[in-house]
Amino acid sequence: MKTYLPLAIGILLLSFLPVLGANPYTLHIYSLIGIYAIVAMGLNLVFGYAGQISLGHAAYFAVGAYISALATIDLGLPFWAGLLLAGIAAFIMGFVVGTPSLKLEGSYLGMATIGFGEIVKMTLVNWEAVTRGPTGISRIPHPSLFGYSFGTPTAKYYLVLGIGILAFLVYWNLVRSHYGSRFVAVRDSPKAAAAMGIDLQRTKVMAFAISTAFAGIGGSLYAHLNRYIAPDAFGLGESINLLIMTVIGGMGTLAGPLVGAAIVVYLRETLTMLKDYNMLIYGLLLMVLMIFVPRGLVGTALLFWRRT
Amino acid sequence: MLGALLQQIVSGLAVGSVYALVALAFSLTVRALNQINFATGELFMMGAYVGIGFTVTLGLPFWLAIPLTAIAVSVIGVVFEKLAYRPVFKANVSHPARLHILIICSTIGTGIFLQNGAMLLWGAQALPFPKVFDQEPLSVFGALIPTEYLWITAVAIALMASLNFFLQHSWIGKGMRAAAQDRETAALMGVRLAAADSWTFGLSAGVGAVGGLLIGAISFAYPTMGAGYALKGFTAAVIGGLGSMRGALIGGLLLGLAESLVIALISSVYKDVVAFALLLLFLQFKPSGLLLKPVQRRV
Repeated sequence: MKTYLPLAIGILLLSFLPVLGANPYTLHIYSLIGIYAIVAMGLNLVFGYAGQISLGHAAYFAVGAYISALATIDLGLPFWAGLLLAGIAAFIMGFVVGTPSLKLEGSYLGMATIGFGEIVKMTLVNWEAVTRGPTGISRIPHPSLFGYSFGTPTAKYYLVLGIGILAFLVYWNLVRSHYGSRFVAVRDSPKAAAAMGIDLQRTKVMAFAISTAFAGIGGSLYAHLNRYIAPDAFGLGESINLLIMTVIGGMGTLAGPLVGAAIVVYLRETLTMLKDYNMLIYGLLLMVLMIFVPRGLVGTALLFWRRT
Repeated sequence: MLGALLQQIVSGLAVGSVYALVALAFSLTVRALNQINFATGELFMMGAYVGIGFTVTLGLPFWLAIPLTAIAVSVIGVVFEKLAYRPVFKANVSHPARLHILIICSTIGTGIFLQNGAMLLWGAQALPFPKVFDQEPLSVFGALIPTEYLWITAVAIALMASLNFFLQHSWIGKGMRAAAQDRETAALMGVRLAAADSWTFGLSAGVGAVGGLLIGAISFAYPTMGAGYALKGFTAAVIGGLGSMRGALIGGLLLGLAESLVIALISSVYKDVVAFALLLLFLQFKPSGLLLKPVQRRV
């Protein structure tokens, strides 16, 4: 009961957020935070729990967004089918890319994932017959379920919240499960894990593929929320943003991705006030946070909580 | 046809020797600290801008700008080692894999900071370099070979040779190599690890900066130029063997040649695909590169 209480309070608070004087702009931002939180939860499985690196997750976010947008526009499929296809396609791609890549370690793995990420971006730009090239896809339909169209910002917010809660439950149960504890074993003592009969390579690849499925689902939501997507939004910069969310929130902490997503999206929106100094401050903040809050905000808060 | 091919080969070697410098910049930190500096491309970019500062603003001759740029950007490299790398390294985090990720984030932050700092200082548009080599192009087999290309190759190779000499024979270089092989033993033997790390970052930044200065002389300087060259340089390092000095040179020249041959024989559209394809192929099938022995995988 005790473990479910914070979750219930959190869901309740988030459900009332639109009632507490939110305007269309802030609702859009809240929805974006929800979407990025879904992606960051997946990434946390890779970074935080399995201890591996990916610097190319924007690619799977892009695959989800494009698959879902093209499925609904060109194939005329309903939104839920696009969402599912996005998750499945990203999972398969994560599995296919992860199988050779995760034989590598550390920085080598990081560079390999950058390479695959750039290949996806180049494909999106050059395969004009399908992806519409650099101009991107516009007029992506609103998400709809059972004949109800989520046309308003409030409706979209609740949709993201609903799917976000589902994603969180999957992620939470995975982390607590017997299977999820393999990730931690592979990270903390690969030798012992291998001796216990855990297939290291397969475990890493599964953590990676599950995280890319999360990214695909997030991408699909992003496409239908924004209603416009273009290859530019899915480059190395976006992969780095996703990485930063996970790290700032706190790698290997349950709530880290949620906090990290909220902070990075909020920072990106407010720092634009600084105009030209925007990214300069962003880079500086990143350096400062790595030095002073290496466990991430949630990790540091937990440490503080346990001490007192 | 032969002339055009020859011209491509010469320019490929020139660009390749710049890739070799960036590869060396990567290899220096990987060899010493097993850590990729993700700001390497931005330090390369700083080299181009600082070089313009010395040659255009101060009106110094190009040959003097080379060592001055190397020193100035080395100082930037050392400052960032003190401010962004060492404190993260020292921060006590439970798990080495996490420390690795934190340092990646911190060097990425450094890169973002440098890139946007350059944009604020010098603007987002491309700055041209003054014409540094004003000799007539050489005529070989009917092909006109601009002398810039020959100079770039010569300077890059001379720099790498002198750096190699420094690492092999100088007192500081020996300390750095000892620290790279076994930090604990080196420390016991009296090598100051903090100093060795500063030298590593400084030399890495300086070598990359000369690369930026040299490429600036046949191209432009712009704030986002670092990313592309960083990727090419890293690819070159992996081809030769990440962490190997000779590997950086061979990998850089091979990549430059491969690119220019693809331009000459196929199409310039596929130029950038070459590096990606080679990077992924080498990472998959021969991550130790051409020159290094494969590392035994520790489970």
